[in-house]
Amino acid sequence: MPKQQIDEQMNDEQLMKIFSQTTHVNNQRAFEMLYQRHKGPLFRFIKKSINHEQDAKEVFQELWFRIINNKQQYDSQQKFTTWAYTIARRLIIDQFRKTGRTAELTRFDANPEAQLSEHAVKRPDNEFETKQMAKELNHAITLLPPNQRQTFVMKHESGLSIKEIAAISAQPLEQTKSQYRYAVQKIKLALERFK
Amino acid sequence: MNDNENQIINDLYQQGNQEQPPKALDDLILKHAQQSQHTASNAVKGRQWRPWLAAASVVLVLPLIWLLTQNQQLHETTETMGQSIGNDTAPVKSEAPKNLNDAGTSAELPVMDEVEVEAEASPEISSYYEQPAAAPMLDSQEKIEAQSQRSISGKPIDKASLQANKAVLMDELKAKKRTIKPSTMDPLMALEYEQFGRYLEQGQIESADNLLTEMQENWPDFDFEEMIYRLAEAEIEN
Repeated sequence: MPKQQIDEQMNDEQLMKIFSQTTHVNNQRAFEMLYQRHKGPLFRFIKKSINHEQDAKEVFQELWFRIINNKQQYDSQQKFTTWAYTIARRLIIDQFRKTGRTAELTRFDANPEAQLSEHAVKRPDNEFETKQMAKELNHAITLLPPNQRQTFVMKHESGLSIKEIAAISAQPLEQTKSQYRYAVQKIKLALERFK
Repeated sequence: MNDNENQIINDLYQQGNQEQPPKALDDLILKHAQQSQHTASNAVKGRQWRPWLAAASVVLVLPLIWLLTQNQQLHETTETMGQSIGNDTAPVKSEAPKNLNDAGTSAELPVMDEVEVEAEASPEISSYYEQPAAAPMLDSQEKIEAQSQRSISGKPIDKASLQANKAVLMDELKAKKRTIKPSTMDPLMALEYEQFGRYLEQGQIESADNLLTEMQENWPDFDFEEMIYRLAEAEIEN
């Protein structure tokens, strides 16, 4: 039976590999570490994508159950976050279909250029302003079209690159870049009043 | 968007997004992970037993097959037991010539008669059957055969089938006997054979009979039918 020690320096892929070994003494510990690292980002990604508290919890639970149940199918050559976000995105789409909100998924970013801001985002002067700006930013995110919202959240929650987000979203790289650029411009527009 | 702007947006995003899933959800998911480990572990343990179970089943099945095979062989052996007992040693006794008038040759005698003759000649066999008289022994022999058949197969065998098997075996044994010829006899046997002829010529029937008996015991592989016939003719003439 393997007795590889678990430590904080281990990357996600190593932890996932240990977790997938049924005979490993530390496999449960490996999962707990993996869960602690990604539960917040994945929960927020799902919640912001769906914009519904209860549905988000259901999808989040289903996501982790799938990760657990399909651990043997996990390819350790693949980045864990890419794998997890791919599953999460599919579950979100399924949830939209279940709740009859598929129209939101295909919502076109109408006349995006008209909403773009040319102003730079200023750094908040104090803690109060930071909180105000953060609140405004979160509200702006909820108003973004689903694809732009997901792209933006994936980028800032888990630090995924545009290329990785394109792979997760199964869409061309240029399209993903555009979605991110439009999302940022709209958020900047929302923060214009703090100048 | 420059890096500075990107950093500001990122800082603001992180500032307002620290929400975590509920504790109950955490517990549920961690419990599910733990259960899946137990299930997988049990499955692995089950798989580890499979080779041992296969080996154990082979160990159990092989003796059963061997026993069945042995039982079949015993069954076949017992079917021919009557013949084999009667022909393991020389079957002819001094009474044989007296029976020639009724039965012709010893090969044509019923097997039961041979057993009877042998029982008289061989103390081991007579003690085995523990039957001093010939007539009761016939009945006893039949009973023993019937019982032995029942004990193996659980049902009595067909009498006609048994008789047919005996006849076949007798023919086989007869075919294996060597004919008495100068080319097949060893020197001592050739001398005794000549002496037998002289006894007959001289009318010494009893001596001839004794010599024939000795020869049958010493050379059981030979067929003495011709000598028995000559002895019987000499008895009739005298």
